[in-house]
Amino acid sequence: MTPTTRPSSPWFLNPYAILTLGAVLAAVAEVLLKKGAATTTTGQQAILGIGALTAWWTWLGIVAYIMNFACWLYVLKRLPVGIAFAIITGAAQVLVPLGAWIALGEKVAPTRWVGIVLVLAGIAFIAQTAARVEESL
Amino acid sequence: MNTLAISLCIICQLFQVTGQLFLKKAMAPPGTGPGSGRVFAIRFVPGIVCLSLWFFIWLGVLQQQDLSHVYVFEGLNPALLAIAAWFLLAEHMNAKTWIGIAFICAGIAVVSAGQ
Repeated sequence: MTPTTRPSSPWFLNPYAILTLGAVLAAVAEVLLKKGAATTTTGQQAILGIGALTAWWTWLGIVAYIMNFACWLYVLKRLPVGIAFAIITGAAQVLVPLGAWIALGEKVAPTRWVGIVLVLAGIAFIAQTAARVEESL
Repeated sequence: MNTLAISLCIICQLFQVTGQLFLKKAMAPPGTGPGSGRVFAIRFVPGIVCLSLWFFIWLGVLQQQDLSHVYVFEGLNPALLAIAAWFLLAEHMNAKTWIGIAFICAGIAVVSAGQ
């Protein structure tokens, strides 16, 4: 009897590739939301930023977030949730400040990177617990 | 960052985690009893309300603050989930979880205090 082999899926459907795409889309969504919010700023801290909905950037950000959610649903069926959660949360913590620096021209001070590294370490410690909790709650 | 912005970032994360948990409960396999639709609505509607509040408060924060400054607060999400399990499920918090929460809080404190 010859063993049957499953046809391998193309590289771009690899769950880690989709997970990476999800993290990039999360960063893109945040940058677009920030652009939308910045164009509608009122000059003082508002509790709700409803005015940002008048900017096209905000709606593009919402579309990117929906695509990010679709990636997350795809990955959840194929990877352990603890690993997926740690990778996507950690990657977004690095990609969002990078995106803000490149696309928005924000200056990311060294102390911010120190804080981000501390948060990444915290996520690495807590990801398994958080994923298990999300499953059981 | 001023106190109002820090408070809004934390409230934002509380709404996000609460909304996620409500929606997760709403999406659980439905019962077949006569009240199953009502149970779904009781979980789904607060979930959507919480996530809407998260979104609009977040937009309000982004109107005033640098994205790279406030995004670090997203790190609170897993910490709040673990704390929710401690309260709601009386789940044991091991040393690793406490260390993780301490690191996340320290990171947020460093970013909040800096320019």
